[in-house]
Amino acid sequence: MEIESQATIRENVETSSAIATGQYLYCIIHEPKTDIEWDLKGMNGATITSIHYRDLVVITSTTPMTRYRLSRENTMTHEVVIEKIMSRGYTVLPIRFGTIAKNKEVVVKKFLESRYWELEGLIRKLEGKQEVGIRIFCDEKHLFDEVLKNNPQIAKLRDEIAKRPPNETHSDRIKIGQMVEEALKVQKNNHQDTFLKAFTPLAVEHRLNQALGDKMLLNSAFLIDTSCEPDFTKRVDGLEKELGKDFQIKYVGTTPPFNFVNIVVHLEDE
Amino acid sequence: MFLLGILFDLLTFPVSYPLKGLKWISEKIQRQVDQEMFSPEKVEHELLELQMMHEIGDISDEEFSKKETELLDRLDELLLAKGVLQEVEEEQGVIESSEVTKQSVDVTQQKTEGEAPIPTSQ
Repeated sequence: MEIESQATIRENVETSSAIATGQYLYCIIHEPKTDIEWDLKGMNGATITSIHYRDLVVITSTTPMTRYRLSRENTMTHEVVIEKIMSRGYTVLPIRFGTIAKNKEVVVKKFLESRYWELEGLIRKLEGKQEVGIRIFCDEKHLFDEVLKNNPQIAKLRDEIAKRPPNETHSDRIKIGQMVEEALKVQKNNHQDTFLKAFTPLAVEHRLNQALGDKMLLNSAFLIDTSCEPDFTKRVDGLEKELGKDFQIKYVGTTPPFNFVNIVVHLEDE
Repeated sequence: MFLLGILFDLLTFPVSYPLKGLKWISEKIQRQVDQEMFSPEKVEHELLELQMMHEIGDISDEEFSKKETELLDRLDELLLAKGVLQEVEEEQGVIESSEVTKQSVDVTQQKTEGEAPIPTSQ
């Protein structure tokens, strides 16, 4: 189940010297009540408010019409607001980082009205589900030892090179470098497949992200039924014991579905 | 001049052809390198890698801040060069020119495509 929503909002540019603030959008939830105090702070420390249309709510805060840089501080602020809303029991549809609307009326008229049923449907699909993330790292030396163990020809060539003077082994050293690189890639892919197979049976959907850095073997997010979380945690613990000290598992339970829903609001020229 | 050019090419063919070929290849490689080195997506990926290194304790807070600022500055330059960012028009009365998108309209969206930011709790 790949859930992706795109909304297009367009309106003529109004040239007015008064245009200085807008509404920063965080996420969409289902809430029929309209008199809720959120008691949260968002981007630039602004108070969190909300925009209501029927029973849909967009969580927002007032912001200058600015572009927020993709810094950790900014992305954290954006995500923490969504996480705090989720922690109050709501199913959240995260809106992409950096989305700013000119005012509340535009959000209702150009976004919520036209996309109401789509957004309602997405919330229903995600009810009772949550995202968990798993990253698995491995000590580089351990990986290299595995490569030598599984590829005797590389170990043999390495021993041969070691016996000869360095000026005679230039091309062999390049060759062994390429062999190791290729073998490492295979080794990492094998590990990734094994790890994924351990978790995908427990998930409704998974998303494989690109590994970051040389040590990372798996960078994946799983959408699971909330009722399955204890089983998932047990599986993580089991794998951690099985893998031993050379591997490190970073498990993040219960986050908003950042990897499965990313409401994108495109701005197109008239 | 055109005929002379052809004649020159024909007479020097064994020498010039490989050279021209090499030049063409090197230009193509350079273009590819430029696209990869100077794409916003590449910088965003580097930012994610940096955040990950910071999370797992491979780099200090100071090192992280310094490198993050460098990468964010580079990202701004690239986005500006690609026309995603634009100098602010005076009458809009908005804050810092380099920080503002050209979309001073109803809904603006950071136009950087790429991976979702690392969830904060990871």
